[in-house]
Amino acid sequence: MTLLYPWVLGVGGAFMGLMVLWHILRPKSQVRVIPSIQLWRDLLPESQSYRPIHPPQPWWLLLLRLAIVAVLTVAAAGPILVAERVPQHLIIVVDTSASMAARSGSTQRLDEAKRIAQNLVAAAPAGSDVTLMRVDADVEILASREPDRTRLNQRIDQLAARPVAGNLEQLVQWLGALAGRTSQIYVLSDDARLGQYAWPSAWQRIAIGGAIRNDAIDDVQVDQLPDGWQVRVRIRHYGDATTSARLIEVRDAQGGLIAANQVQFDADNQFVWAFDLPEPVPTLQFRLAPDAADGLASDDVVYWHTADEQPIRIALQIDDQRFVPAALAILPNIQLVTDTQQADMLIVSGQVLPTTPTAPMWLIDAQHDEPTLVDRPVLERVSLSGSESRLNRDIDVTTTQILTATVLDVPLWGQRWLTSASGTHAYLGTYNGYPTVVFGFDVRQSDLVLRPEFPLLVRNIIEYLTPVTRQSRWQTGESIALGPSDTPPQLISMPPGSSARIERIGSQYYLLDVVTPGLYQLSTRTLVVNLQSRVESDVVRPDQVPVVDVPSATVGGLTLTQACIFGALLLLAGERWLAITQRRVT
Amino acid sequence: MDVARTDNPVILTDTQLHWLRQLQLPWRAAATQGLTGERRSLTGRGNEPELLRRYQYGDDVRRIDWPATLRLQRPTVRQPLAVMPGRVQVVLDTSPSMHLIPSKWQVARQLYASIGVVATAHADMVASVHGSVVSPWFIDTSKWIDWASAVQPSADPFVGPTDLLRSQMTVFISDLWHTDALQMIRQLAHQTSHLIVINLLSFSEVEPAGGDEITLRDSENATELTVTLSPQLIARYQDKLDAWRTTVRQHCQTLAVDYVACHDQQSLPSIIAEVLQ
Repeated sequence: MTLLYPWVLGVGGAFMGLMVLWHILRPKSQVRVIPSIQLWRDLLPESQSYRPIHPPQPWWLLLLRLAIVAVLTVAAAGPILVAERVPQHLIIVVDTSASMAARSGSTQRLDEAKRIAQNLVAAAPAGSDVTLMRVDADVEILASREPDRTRLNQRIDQLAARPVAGNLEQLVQWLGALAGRTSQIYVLSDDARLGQYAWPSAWQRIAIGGAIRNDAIDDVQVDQLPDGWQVRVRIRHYGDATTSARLIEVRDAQGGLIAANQVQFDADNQFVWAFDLPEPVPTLQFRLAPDAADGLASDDVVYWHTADEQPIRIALQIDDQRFVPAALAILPNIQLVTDTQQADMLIVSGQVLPTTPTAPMWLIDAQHDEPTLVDRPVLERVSLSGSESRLNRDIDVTTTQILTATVLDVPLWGQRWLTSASGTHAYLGTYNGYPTVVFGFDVRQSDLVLRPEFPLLVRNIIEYLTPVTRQSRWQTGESIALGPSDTPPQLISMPPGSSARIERIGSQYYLLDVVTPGLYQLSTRTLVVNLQSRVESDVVRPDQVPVVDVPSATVGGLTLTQACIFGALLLLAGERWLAITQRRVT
Repeated sequence: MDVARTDNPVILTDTQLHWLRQLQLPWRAAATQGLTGERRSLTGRGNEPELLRRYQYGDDVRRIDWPATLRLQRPTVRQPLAVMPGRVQVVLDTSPSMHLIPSKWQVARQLYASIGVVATAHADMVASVHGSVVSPWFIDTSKWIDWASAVQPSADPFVGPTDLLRSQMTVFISDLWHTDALQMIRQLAHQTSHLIVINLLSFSEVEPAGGDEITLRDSENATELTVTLSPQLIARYQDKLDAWRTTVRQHCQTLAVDYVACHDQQSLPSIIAEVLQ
């Protein structure tokens, strides 16, 4: 048996030491010998017996508790039972892709993988030989059937991450021929899709970290210039995980927005951004967004549409920004077109309102002849009522901050929507027969796009501009009725890691347990689960504790960890019984 | 040192001995059936021999001999002399509950010795029963004090005497912390014509000190009870103690038994005065 995390034993030992100290030094109730307790007992009958806060504890109860802690400590240390102590051929594959260079605290993921690999080598039965491999963009054998453990540990120490993305699919194919010829293959990787490959069931997979969003702020430098300060931020993408629209925001200690920018990685998987500060700011807070859910009601919503509906054709005429297209990409039933004559609506940025519109229009960062610019307005109020109030559905933008915004002159046909103390920054109305929405700021200059509900804001605007009757929403996890049919709807695609269940209940087919975020496409319908909410997803974020998934040899059908926990529970049951009995005796 | 005996632990000082010798046990007029001697009436009228002595606090005013008082120019009482010596026996509870608290044990021994001193000072006889030890009859004060000084505490719970010595008066000194205390008083009352029960407690039993979380351990059977001695609980305890003593007192009244409740912080004279009344 070997331990994946031997340092846990130290923590457990220290805790047990504290338990012994507490047993010795714990406050005990003062004993007062009196001639007779006859009257006191009459005063406190057994039914109202007083339970001492610190009842006396016998030493054997302490030993039992120490045993429970010891067993739990072993369970937490990640025991791996090498079932057969006969010489084996062990294959250890270490992921050396760029993402393994990501740091969690002071250690790299690769360091953790190396440590686990060396533990596996140490635990191999005497006489075993080990094949060491690395995998990133390609697969390489570093040591073939090597029996010398010192040499193996040296090779493991020499492993280093390379600036390339991993390709575990190639590894699966490469090792496929070995299936059945060896009993011990360990793959140490942080690939988010580790559990999705068609691994033979006997293989062991050890997941390190997670790679949902494998990017991080790598470096921040502040340089003093003659006329101010310059801040340089470097963000690195570690590969493996898909990239999506990201934005970096900089705030001061009070949470005020100072700067924001889109993240666009270059060929080296880096993004370097420099911005100037006219005056020094004592504390700068950097955040890559979107990240955690914000707890809005809209986070827990499923949107869907039927294939029978005509898609909404949208013509985009916007500057180089990815947030609006990213929001459109996760909304169902959207078709982007280039011919504005064929479009159902237009999204335009950096232009003036045309005098003769040809379609419903969302005008972003509307240009004025004499713009009145204001810095850092905060949207204090979101007005609208009646049918226009649908624009505020599921969203709350009242705390949105904008770096620079134009104060708009609201025309007679316009109705104020987004306002601040400085004035109106967005309005809407019917302009020459077409529904129109006008924004007086660039969405990239606001933290609006950082919010999980930004796609919902886009959806509300689209629904306002192209009013058609649509089926709207379900709660995540809620079963969705797919309608009566003799043949079940065929699932065409679904988000990675999800397992959509379609069941027939009566004459109706239902899609059950819709919780995994992503785009589901069925034969007749498409639905979207909001991507940015942890509420809706069981996805583990990369900055959390590494997940170790080691289905090793078993004891009576249980893994060693499970057996330890089971034993601890039995001991705990015994301890409770004895403790209660002891209390009754005293 | 002003002590009665120097070779034994201090029980009674010379001052206390002097004072005790002037007191008299409260003999009842009725003779004890089967005894060889008889006690005279309290008034002492008739041809029985009598003794004139100076009036003392506590004497029955009916005993004042007014002619002698005028003659001698001091209050003088007429005390009848016994035809036969009176017999008093003292039953002392020597169980752990009695000697756990030294001051309580000291007062118990002083009361025990004092009863014998008062008896022997007037040529009456005293004997004692404590534990399984039964003493001979004493008529000499010094020998009685020697005996009383040698009384040892017992490690066993108190068990009442199965057979009492034949006497006109029995004095039972105990804290009555027995589950069968009332039955024991009844048994003693049936075996003697005049029973005096001295219920002696320590002051800490009457006024317990408070405390947060205290495990109370019984001195006799070592059973424990953990309590928070809050003022409310102490008040409830004192109410319970008062109720218990009232029950004992009423029980004694129905049996024509004298009952004296006291604690170890009271002065010996005050307890003795109450007993002899």
